[in-house]
Amino acid sequence: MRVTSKMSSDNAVYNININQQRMSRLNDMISSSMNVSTPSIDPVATSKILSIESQSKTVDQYISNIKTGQLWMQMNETVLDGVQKNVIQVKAIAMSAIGGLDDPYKRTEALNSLRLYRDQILDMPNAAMIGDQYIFSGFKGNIKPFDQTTITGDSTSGSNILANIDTTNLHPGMPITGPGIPDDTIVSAITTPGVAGTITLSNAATATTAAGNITFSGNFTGTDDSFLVEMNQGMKISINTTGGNLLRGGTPPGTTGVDIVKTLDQLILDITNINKAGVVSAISQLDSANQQIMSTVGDLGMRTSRLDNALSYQERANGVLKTMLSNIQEVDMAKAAIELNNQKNNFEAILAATAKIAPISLLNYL
Amino acid sequence: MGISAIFNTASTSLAAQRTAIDVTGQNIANVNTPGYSRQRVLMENGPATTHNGFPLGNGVYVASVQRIYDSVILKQLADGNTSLGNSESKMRSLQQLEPYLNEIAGNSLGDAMQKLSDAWQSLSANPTGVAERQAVLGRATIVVDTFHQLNDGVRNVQTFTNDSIASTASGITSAAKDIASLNDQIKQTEIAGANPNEMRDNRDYLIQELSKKVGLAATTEADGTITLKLSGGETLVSGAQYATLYGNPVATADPNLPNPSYDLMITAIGQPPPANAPATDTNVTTTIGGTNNSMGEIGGFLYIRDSAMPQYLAKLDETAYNLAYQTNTQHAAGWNLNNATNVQFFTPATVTAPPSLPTDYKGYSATNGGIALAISTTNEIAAADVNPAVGGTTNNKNAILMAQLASKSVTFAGGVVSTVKSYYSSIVTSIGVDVQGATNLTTQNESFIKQLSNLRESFSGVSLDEELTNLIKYQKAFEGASKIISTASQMMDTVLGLVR
Repeated sequence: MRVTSKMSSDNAVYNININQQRMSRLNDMISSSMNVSTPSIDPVATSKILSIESQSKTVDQYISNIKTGQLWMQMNETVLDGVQKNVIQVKAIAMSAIGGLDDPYKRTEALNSLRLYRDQILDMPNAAMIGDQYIFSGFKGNIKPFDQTTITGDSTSGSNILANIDTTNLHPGMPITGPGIPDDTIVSAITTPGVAGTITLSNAATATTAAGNITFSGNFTGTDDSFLVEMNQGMKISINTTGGNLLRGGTPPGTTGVDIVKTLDQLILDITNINKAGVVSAISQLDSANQQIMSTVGDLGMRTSRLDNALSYQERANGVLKTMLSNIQEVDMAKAAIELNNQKNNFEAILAATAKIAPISLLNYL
Repeated sequence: MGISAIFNTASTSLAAQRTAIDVTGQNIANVNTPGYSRQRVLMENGPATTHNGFPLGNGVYVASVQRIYDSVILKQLADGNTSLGNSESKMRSLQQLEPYLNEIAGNSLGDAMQKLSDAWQSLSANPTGVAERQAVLGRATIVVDTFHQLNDGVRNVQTFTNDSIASTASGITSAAKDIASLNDQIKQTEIAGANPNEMRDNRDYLIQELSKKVGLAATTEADGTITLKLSGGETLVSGAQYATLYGNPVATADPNLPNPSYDLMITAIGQPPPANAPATDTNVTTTIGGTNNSMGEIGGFLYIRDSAMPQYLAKLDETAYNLAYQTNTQHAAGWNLNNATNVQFFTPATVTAPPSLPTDYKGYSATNGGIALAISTTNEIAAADVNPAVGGTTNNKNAILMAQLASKSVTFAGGVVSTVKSYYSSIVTSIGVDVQGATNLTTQNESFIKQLSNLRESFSGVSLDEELTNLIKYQKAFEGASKIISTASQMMDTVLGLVR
């Protein structure tokens, strides 16, 4: 077969290009540390890489949700712990008050302490916020769970009766304020229940007001909805406890458990009215309230455990995904470096051979 | 046989060897000329005559200067170039599209959709959070922008190939004109009795280059001219006449085609051909590229413009539509902080449920008239499943359902059941397959062309060593002939000396 110099040079250029392509590919792998930098390098591997990366990012988001849930659990536990301690203190005051009910000074001291504990018990869930969300308000997280409630009512100077008042969220013992209503006034009785009912106050009003703003606290202003987050595909967990369930025994109050606020308010009324039987009953209710709180703490503990397990699982799963991705995508640097070195040697050999052979011609010998 | 006969014999040798040296010089001079076929001199001895009763020859004559070429190899090279041109044009075009769809490099559509889903998850943990709501809006905007960028990217490739079709047609016409001119020159040269070897080489080289651009059927006529016809049988070159191939811009209503798109038209042949008349010229758009547009660069560009890119656009449009349909359906079921329900998240409205698609879904991923956000404020995001005025503002149930859409399958056209993100990943994989396939085919064609080129070069190429050897051979023969003349001259002097 005739071999011309053009054939030799064309073949040399072709082989040089092929070798340069191989070296370029290896160089690209080493500099990017990736086996697959474009889909055309390995479409099958590309499909796997995209799938794994998508799963990994989804798991990252689940982990973020779980950590949010853990934060909520911690805050829930802190509040429940504080409420429980206060309830225990309230029970102690009640037991101590039984023996001193006839002593007005002891009664006053007990009432002052009970009012303080009432405020604390309501303030704790009211202060529990994560971000700008009240965590005990259910789906009404933009308002405090036990926000002040304002309704209207008619007062008459010198009279204990408030008329034309919505009694739906009122109960005996509840502290109440309004125009012409003295400090530390509580609801003595719901005289006529209804949206235009009447109530009896512990103190007479000092002014006559029609449709005056009457304010009270202790009413649960949130919802009893569970706040869910997703821990895994289709797997959700509630990360909240609602103020209604915690302190009011459900919605309506008392339907699913002990209405702690009402029990406390009734205790205050019973001590004010020197009702020993009522105080004894309140102590029993406070025992049940303590059990209720402990049960809620137990439930929180179970949910926290679920979150911890889910976090552990997702972190393991993420580790596996990242390992799978690394196996496909990460360059074996040692192997790539050796291949690059071999290719470089081949390339140098081709260049040397071309340099030696190309100039040889009969012309050199004429 | 007299002394003068010796002079005649030697002079024929001088002429023949000089011609041979000329041809050798021509070969050496054109050693690097593309398409040049080496030439060799065929010498014959002169007719014998009788001298002193003995038959003696009358020197040497150059019978012909022969061009060394193999028409079979040339035909194979033309076919190989047609395939190479086709695969190269497809490869280059698809390689332009690949970076847009390179999800591995990150920050592409798949990443944007994932981050939108993550934003919905974050919102579910804090439904009234301004930052979380802003993140949903921001991520959705990025998804919309990315769809637009991808759509623009595909259309850019389409526009490039559309423009290339017109410019390639112009190049084909120019080459056809040159070939027709060479046909005429070769014919006239042969009529005049001269040797048109170099012109034939030029013509063969032009046909090789032209075959890369378009599939051709070449026929050598009895008068030495070559007739070239396109894949559909239309005549491009016949004798000294040629046709004009041109791109005729035609408006199209199909949003997945460039507007205007170039139709390829061919005139009748002429010298010069008649003026372009789109109304009466032949439309060769559907035939010029051969079966499945598999021939020549122009076939590759037509395939990319009319088949490959519309498919990618259709898939992108369907991905955008189905994402919008899923999102709109769930979002409309929820309530936003303005206490409103039935609020669309994306526009235009998505009224047809997958796998059915509305007739106007084409262009859904486009910048103009395509997917866009239907909401503009954070309060319009529907995270709740009941009216917040009644059920509370931190109701996150619809936000959870929105986040779960990422794992919810949709039925795409053709019966493919997949999540939207997985479907997009399949588009990314398919561009990888297409580019890899075109690259591999181009590599194979290049290798095939190289082998054929080597064969052609081996048969028709100039070997410097061979020519230098021939040069020495003819030079020595020339010297020998010169010696004969000087010897005969001395003999003549001797004879003339006898007479004085």
